[in-house]
Amino acid sequence: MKQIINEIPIKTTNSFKVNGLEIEIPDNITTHFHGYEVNDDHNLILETTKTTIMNHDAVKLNIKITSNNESPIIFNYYFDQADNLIEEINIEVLNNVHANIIFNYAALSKEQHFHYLKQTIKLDNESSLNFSTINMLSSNATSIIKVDNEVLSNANLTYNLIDLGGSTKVSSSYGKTYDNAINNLNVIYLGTNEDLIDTNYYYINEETLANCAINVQGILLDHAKKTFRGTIEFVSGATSSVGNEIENCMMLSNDASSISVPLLLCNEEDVIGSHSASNGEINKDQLFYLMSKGLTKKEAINIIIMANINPILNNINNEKIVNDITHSIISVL
Amino acid sequence: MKTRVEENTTLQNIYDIKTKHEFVDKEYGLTKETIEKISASKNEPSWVLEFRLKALELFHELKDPDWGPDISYLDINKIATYVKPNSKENKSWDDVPDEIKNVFDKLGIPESEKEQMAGVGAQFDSEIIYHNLEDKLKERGVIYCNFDKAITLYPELIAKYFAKIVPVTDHKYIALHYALFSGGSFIYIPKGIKLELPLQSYFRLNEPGAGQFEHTLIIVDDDASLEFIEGCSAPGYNDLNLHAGCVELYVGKNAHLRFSTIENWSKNLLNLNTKKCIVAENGKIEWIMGSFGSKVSMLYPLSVLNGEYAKASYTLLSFAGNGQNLDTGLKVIHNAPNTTLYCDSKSISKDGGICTFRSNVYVAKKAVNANIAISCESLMLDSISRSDTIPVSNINNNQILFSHEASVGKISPDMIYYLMSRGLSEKEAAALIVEGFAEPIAKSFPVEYAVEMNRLINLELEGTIG
Amino acid sequence: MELLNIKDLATIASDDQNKKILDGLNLTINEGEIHVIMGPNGGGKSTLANTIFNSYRYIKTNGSIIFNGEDITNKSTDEIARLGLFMSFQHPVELPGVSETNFLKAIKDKKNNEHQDVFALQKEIKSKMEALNIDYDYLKREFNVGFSGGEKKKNEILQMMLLNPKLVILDETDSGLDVDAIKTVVKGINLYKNDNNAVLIITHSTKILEGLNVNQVHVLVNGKIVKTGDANLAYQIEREGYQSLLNEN
Repeated sequence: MKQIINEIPIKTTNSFKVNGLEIEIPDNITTHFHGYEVNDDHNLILETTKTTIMNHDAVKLNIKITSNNESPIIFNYYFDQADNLIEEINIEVLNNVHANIIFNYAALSKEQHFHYLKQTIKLDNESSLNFSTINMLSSNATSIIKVDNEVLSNANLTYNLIDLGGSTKVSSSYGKTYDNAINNLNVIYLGTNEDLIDTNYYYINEETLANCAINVQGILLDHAKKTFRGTIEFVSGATSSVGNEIENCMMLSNDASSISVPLLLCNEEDVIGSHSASNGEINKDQLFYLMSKGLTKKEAINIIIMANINPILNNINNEKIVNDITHSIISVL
Repeated sequence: MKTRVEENTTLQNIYDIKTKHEFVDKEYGLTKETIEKISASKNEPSWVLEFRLKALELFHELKDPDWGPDISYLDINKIATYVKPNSKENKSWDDVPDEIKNVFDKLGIPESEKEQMAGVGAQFDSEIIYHNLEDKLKERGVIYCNFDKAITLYPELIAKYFAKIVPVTDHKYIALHYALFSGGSFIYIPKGIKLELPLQSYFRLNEPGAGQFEHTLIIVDDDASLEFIEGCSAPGYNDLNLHAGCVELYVGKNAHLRFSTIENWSKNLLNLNTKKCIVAENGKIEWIMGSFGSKVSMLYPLSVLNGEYAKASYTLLSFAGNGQNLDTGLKVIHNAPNTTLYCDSKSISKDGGICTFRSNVYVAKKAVNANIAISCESLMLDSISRSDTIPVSNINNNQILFSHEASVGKISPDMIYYLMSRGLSEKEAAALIVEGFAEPIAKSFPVEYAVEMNRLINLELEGTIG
Repeated sequence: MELLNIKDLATIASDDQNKKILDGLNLTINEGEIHVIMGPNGGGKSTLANTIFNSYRYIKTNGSIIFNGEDITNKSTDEIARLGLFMSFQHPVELPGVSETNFLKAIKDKKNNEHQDVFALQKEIKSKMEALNIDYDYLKREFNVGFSGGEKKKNEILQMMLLNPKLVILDETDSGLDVDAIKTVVKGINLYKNDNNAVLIITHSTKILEGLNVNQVHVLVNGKIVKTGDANLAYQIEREGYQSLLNEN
């Protein structure tokens, strides 16, 4: 079944086909769910039920976080052989609760896994959540991640998406930020070979003093092709609100291609909004500086790339997972 | 140095002069017969009529864009597609009929010609009514004339460039333009000729419910340079007016063209204009655009950087007030190595006005060492207005420098406070800051345009702040 | 004659209303006097200057400010300025696109309530620029854009000389300036100063005080003036610091 997804909020000229992505969702996908490995017994309410997504059978998880946790709750899921997974995960963090969650998806084999993940995250008043989704599927996989979040008054969400696995990586995030809340999206993506990366992030400041930020750091090698869509919108009444968007695409190959569509939509006077995008090779001055200290070009490039992505990796409070991520990036450079 | 000029007449009064000028011919609607009639009245070669009729077919085939401001209410049958003023083209300003002359005189045209211009053209509704060029430039082979005349006078140049830079298939309203084109300017600057003073064309759309479809073709040959200024205005009527002009520019090797527009169409006009420039090796196109008028504008000048080291620069300012939707920006194609794009775009939205910056930048794989810097700043003067930034870039090699920065917000309270601590009222402080915001555009124009622009800004700001 | 009288002034920050900054401050300045306010960072020195000018950053919770016989406690910033108060900003803003000339003309015309002839004004500006060693080219530049710290501060003094106010507040005008620039600032102050006006200097160092005839030095700590003395107090602070001074009390 062909579908158009990742549509931008305001259409523009069709010349570069950036208004949305047409994608084929195979009809013959069947979900084989063999359960998450969870690291610990935490105070959370977890229900697993069946549901239907895009006419396919799917799994639905409802998670309620009722008390604070400092070390992250880690959900590990391993794709084995011809595993496919279509799932919906709904997470609510209750009032005043501070939580830390990691969803880590990895592959045990090289099959063409299909993963469709729909997440809905709701932060109640005064709560906070540091949430990471890590895609380390095999290089043949298709990964579609769709996140909706709502951050209510005085709450604070940091969402980290580490999108490394799969030859097709599609991600979208639709975030609403309310009174005095903070909503940060951090993304690292990696494109190799003929990978297709397609993103659509849309963050709205709904109320006064809302603060949202989108920070995307990408690495493109070989013939990888990326389309970045990122929107920050200020609705009328979102006074004294702040919205910031940064997209940095490090193109390590002359055959890679990079499309960027960073939108800034504003219907309120009293705001501070900005976006900046940079695309291209690694900064030559930084490279020269490091090489003048005796580092090889490759070492210098690694350092500069890690310097760009480390601030995001620092949000993930698990050394092993961070090491795995770092290793899988460095190994392809 | 510029200082503000105080005058009693407000600019709105000037733009609102409605003349009861007699026209000799006025055509409504869009049929084969209308076009045949327009063509016949111009005594055109037969290929032009054929071309017009083909364009008409295309107009009916093509669809409205599915993006951008809504223009579905445009009914081409209610637009006067051709209005011929009761005047011939004149070489001497004294021969222009008084009613038309009065309008241009009050707009300061061709007052400016006396000191600051090398040549001036003026179009009233569908026809050019005045054209003049310094004799010494004529002697050096410079051509500056009514576009209609150029078709018969310079068939070789027309065959080489006309409808080649902007093809008839580009979009629906360019097809409409080619069906109805009338008036406009043709300029040819021969190799190596550098004009010290600008040429200026002024377009006035005077008739209620009329359309203007002027065609401008400028060729700046190798090593030549030109500054061209166009001004546009129309008085306010209730009927919808339409402007679907077309500008084709060619900048040769090492040549330089600065194309400046100050646009103050009335706020009942749809401005669906198309501008495009092809730049050869080491040539440079500079676009300077101040957009104040019109109900809806859709205008994205395209630069095709075909030669190595070709450059494009854009300095843009839009000011949208009540009922206005100004959708402007740029398109650039980097088609050769070492090409450069620089863009400084600013917009001001107030009283429910909408400003949209829309850009499309394409860097071909072979365009290595392209250098691109785009900056957009949007100023919001209240919370019922809107400001959107929709930039698209498509980059196909990594040997480039690309940066895009955009910001939106209100006038900095620290700036207002500082100016108030020097005794200025809040309103005066805001006006000074907004004037400064628009300065990069203002300083690119001759002084009377800049003064006019500052007055437009002050007029627009009246009653908004404080 | 009394020029400025501040009574029991208390303020909070408008973006953090739990934060008390000034807390019962009293200060009187007479015509012909030069006063100095010193004090540790965060004590409220800049807040005092900006509160007098009714900055949007602070909210007055108590007290009154009388300037030249008029109650300015609740007047707007521009009204206060037009009554003859001037502040040299610690961090003057940049105004992109606004030329120095247009800026100076705008504030001078406002003060005189008439449009001054451009050439007469330029002549006046140039004579003051000469006294302050400012290059005439600055007139064409955008206001403060790309100016160094010292150039921005000289620009403040130039405006002061041009507007000739009754009372001047110099908010750390000397900080970050080299010796020569401080001398220029002092020269400007001396050119401006007479028996009918007054100066309030907020500073961390005594450099700017050399060559000025200082009447009183106040020490501002935690939103209050805790000690007042003559010029020697400033030198004592420079030698011994604030802590020993506070321990004395």
